[in-house]
Amino acid sequence: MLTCRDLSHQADAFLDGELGLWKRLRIRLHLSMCEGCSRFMDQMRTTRSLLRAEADVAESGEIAGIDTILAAFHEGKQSGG
Amino acid sequence: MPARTEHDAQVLSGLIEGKREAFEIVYRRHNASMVRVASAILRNRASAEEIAQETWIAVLRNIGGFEGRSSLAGWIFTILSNKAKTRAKRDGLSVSLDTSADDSTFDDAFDGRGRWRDMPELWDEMTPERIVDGRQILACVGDAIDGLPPAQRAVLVLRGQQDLDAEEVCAILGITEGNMRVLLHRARLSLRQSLDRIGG
Ligand SMILES: [Zn+2]
Repeated sequence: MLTCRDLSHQADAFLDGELGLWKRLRIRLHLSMCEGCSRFMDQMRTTRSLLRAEADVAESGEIAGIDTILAAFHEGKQSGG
Repeated sequence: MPARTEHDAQVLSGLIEGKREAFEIVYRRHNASMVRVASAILRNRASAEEIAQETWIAVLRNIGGFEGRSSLAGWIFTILSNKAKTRAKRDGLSVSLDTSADDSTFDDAFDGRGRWRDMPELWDEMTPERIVDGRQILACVGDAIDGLPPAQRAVLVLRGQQDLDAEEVCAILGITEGNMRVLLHRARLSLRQSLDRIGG
């Protein structure tokens, strides 16, 4: 019988779609009967979405460094480097 | 993500032609993560920012030679980690990441029969729909990432945020796939725990 602890260790692989059919079924069955693990799995899903959202925020952030880089790049080209 | 792949091809050709817009897109997408990964190797934010900048210059100089054998992101992060490791050696730092990841703290959440001691909370305040304007939550996520042990932080950023292939992540950080999985899992659990403190 799959325990809650076992399930918690497989949660990542489950959400990554890396488990085979049989393991997936065992997890689904456990989730259907266990409120604690259902909540845990939701938390792990939310954690992932928040992680991605955090990366998206960084994407819309400042790009002050870009001009220095482009200048250094063009300078290098002119000096034949 | 096929839409992104086609977009990627356009960005790549823009980058080869030296177009500023293309560079801006790629810079936005990766720079913050590059600084994070470099600082995981160098333990120093200022050096990490320098390494990220040097990496970008190298990317622009060498983009013509990028052959697409790895993803563009994988290629960029490989350059970054090589530069960071060279700097670490120069500064007398250990180059290999400490990949030990202790799972025991999390196992305290379960009783002797492997069942939850305390029922996990419902995160009503943190549904994905509300994330969009939840800048405060995202700032906490950012702080939690920055507070992770270096190896966990690097894996989480590369795999969980930048979507690099598992093999690419392992090659870039010089770790095994088994290591990577444990570190990633541990990092996500820590993040969940930080969120639980604000969201439960
Ligand atoms: Zn359970």
